Amino acid sequence: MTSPGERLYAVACVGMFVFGMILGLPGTVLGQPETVAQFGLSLADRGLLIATLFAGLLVGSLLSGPLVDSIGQRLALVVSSSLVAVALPLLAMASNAAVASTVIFALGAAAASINTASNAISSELFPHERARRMNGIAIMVGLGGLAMPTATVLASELVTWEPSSSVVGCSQRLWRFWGSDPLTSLDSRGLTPLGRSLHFGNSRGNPSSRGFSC
Amino acid sequence: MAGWTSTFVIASGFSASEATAVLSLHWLGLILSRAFFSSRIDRAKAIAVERSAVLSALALLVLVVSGAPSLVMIGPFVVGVCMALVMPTSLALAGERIQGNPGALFGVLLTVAQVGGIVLPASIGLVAEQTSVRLGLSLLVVSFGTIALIVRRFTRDA
Repeated sequence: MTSPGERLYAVACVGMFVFGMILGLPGTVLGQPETVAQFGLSLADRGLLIATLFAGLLVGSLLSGPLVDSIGQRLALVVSSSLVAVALPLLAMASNAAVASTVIFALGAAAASINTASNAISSELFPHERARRMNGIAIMVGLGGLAMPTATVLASELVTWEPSSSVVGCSQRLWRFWGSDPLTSLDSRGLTPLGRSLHFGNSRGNPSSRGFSC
Repeated sequence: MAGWTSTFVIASGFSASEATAVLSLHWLGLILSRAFFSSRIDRAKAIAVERSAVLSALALLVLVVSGAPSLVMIGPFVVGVCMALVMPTSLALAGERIQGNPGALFGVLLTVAQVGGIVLPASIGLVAEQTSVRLGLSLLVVSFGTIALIVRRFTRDA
């Protein structure tokens, strides 16, 4: 995993892992009796809440195409994963179904760019093995989806589902900090982080400004 | 599918923890299928999508029609194995045939996918509320059948 392309692919894989956890979130959380009791959810309510995530993903996907093409795949990953890191703890703190659905919508909108940018990276970097690479990042979605209910079951012995969501949000942000190698990671236009700092300004390019805020 | 698996299992008479375990198995099926088959489909993407969709429809049909507890437990895993290749391989197929502006291409395709992600869970919820979760999930059989037909038509035209 030494080439810039492989490193970027690895970052895309981790982004898709978190994306999978977000997709697995409603199925895990909304099936829990404590959540149903807390929010007073009917079956139709659960369907609507699941659909809310996809509504957020829809809006996010609509915006993500132009976003990814204009600011670059790597920066799009950083921005969207930072927003996800903010939204997940907010979901854990939701006090009623209306707040939860609002946060789930925001979570979906933020996560959509992770999906778009990661697929674009895989398709562009490996034209001769697209199916294998794109199934590879889809495996990470599956692992994320598997991790969410597994973490919830394991953690349920000690805590409720809310801390699990918060931990995902924080770890997502820390991974972005780790993944910003100043020498080898290039975006779609071949810019290093230093180049991007000059191009977009230090507030976006400096890893220290986005690493420890969770 | 993932959004309704735990509710389906609980509605079939299992506990919440068992339902969560079955949901994990569903995701495990997705992972194993992609890990095992992804290196074999680069030369036949359209066929892979079509066969995956057909198998998914059949597996879901068995899951919905049969009331056997053992099928409720392993069915979502099998469905996960069958449906795993549909989405990523379809995207790879599009990336191969439509070059340039990958962000816009995948943005549009994923937007279309999200429309299904909005309509289907909500529809399943409404049908489940009026009838049963089992009947609600049968909408997915129609969905996968439609995918298979579209891919077959698309491949034939290409």
